[in-house]
Amino acid sequence: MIYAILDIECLNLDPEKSEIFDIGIMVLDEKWNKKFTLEHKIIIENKKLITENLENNPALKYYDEAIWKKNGVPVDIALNHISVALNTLNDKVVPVGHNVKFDLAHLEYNFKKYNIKNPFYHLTLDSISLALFCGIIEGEAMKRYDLGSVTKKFKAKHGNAHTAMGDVDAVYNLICNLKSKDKSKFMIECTEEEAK
Amino acid sequence: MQTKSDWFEITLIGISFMAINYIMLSYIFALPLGK
Repeated sequence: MIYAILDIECLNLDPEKSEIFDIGIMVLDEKWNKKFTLEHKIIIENKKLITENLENNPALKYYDEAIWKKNGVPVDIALNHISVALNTLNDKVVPVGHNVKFDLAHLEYNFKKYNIKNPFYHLTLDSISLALFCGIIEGEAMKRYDLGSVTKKFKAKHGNAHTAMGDVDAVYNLICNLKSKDKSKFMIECTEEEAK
Repeated sequence: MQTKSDWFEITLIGISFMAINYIMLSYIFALPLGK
């Protein structure tokens, strides 16, 4: 079994009306050691969607037309590369991420649209469950369920939030902390200072 | 359009999915469940 921490940035919530513009994937072996990463900037076809979603989509703050023009590829090329890279591993690739079903819905829609073989296994590991259940078990629910709240709770480093690779790195750091033997480091309430 | 019972089912599936995920993560990373 292989794990793939994945994150996408897209223009809006509905896969049919949205476009993916950033994909980050980090592939880890069964012992959670890093194998390789895949990162793709995707060219946005419908530029109107950018202006429509600019105000309510925080990920678009990091969208730079010049960078995407230089490094961007069409979505089918990127997905084909991802599919080939992961399918050649000949193993179950378990998607890992924060609210990973959302990212998978967009990826699955596009894999189907371009008739590309979906390389991901149907089981997922989702860090959002930590936000929901750690709070309940500890007797006090977390106020927010976003990745930033979870990384703060488990004291994992989170740079460049709302970029695909930034969020992938944050989930990886979270996993490194979960792997550590001394759980007492993070299974305690944050102080008010840290929560800020 | 989704009815009340649809939302109930969606919520139930969502919570079950999250609970299974939490149990899997707790098992994989040996998290101190219930502490």
